[in-house]
Amino acid sequence: MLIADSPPYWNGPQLAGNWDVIRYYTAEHVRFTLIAVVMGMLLAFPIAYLAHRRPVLYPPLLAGTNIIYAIPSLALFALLGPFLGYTNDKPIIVAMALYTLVILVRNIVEGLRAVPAHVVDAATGLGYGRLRRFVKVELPLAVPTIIAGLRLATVSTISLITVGGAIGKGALGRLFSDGTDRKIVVELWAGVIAVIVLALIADVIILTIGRLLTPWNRAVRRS
Amino acid sequence: MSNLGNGVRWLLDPSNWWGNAGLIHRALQHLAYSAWALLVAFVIAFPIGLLIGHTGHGRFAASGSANLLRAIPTYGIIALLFYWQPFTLWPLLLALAVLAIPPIMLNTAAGIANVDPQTRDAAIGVGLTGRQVLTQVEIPNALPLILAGVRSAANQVLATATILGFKAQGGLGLFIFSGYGSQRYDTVYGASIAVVLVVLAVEALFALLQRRIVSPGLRIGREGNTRPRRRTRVRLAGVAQPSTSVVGAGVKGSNVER
Repeated sequence: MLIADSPPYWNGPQLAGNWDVIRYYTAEHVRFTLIAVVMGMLLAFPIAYLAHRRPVLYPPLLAGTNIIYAIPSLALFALLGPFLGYTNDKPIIVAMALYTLVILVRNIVEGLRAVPAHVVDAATGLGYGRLRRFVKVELPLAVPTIIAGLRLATVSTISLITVGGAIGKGALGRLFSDGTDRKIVVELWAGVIAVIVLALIADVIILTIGRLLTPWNRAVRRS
Repeated sequence: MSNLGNGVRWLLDPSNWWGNAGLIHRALQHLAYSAWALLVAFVIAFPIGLLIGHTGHGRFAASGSANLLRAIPTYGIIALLFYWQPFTLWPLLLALAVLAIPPIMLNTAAGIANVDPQTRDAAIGVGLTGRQVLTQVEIPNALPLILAGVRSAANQVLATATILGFKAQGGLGLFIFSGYGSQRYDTVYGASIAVVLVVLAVEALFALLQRRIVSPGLRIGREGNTRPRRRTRVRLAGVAQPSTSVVGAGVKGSNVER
């Protein structure tokens, strides 16, 4: 895919000739989403593991993720500014990663909790250590719930990134702010449709990955 | 970090509280607009959820359309609607309502569909009509999940209602947008803390409500509860479960949402 070095500019009130603009910001959107969701997962797993091992900590940890989610994005961008800089893309990506925690942490913990106790006991009986049991038994069985959370987190991240448009970032959200400023309705439509299509494609991809990761679920359904 | 301290100071300064441009007025506005959006969403989503849960039809279409609604960027919808109706409130309320539909619809459907078939059969057996089964058996039994859906929707709407400050419409977001524009970060942070407090207060309210109106026999997931876990789960993507986030008890299940 050919990507221009500097952000291309929407020309005229029509769609024709502006595909490179859409392509540029879509590519940026994909990049932001990927980094944010992966970062969110990397943060969520240790937190969820802790919450699973120490159930007392689960409610406060969950409340913490809830509070983060309630912080308005403009404020979160500003809060992260001193640490990550004001002119780069890091604040928006990190903010999105933090927002995903409210979904990911809960889904990972609930997924782990839903693993039947006798399965865990059987694994212990077979001589599995704590870590090996977690990785080999509990985690795979929690995959459907984790995937459900990952789908939600990804879709909402894709649509949430656009608020960055208000501060001159935000990938496809730039089409919203630019389209509003210059009153180009086609640009607005292009942005909305691109975001929706991107979200739906990402959703299907994760759904497919989830099905590939859990062949036993498909086998049960077929019989 | 001193900015954050200034934000707290700004928030605690009573001279910022009163009047038509004060924090209290804006917070009430924030709540009122969110309540309207939530109401609109409920009126649309609840009947659809009931229908899907009661008949068992359209489950796939429901989770598909919920996904579609979730994919719609709030900011984009507002930008588009503002193009036709600049500087009015309803595009903002509509965009917020879109946000609240999926959790209410999916949770209502899952709650109704999750009602123990034996309970439902018993109700039919003692001669209740379809409508009576729905209103007297299925809805009360589904109440924990329905409430969790509304709570999750309220949470999302309140957190997103900051966009009401966009183009100076009102709510606590007004402080944030104007503060951001004029680089007065004490108002940005102060108002953001206020938003978080409003969200937490409403969460707590829902937790109380859950205790008050949910039948005691249905309180699941509390410590010491020995009720066996359900084996069969309705597979609807992204169903919100009663959360343990602030107060109250959680339910065990899959496909959870905030």
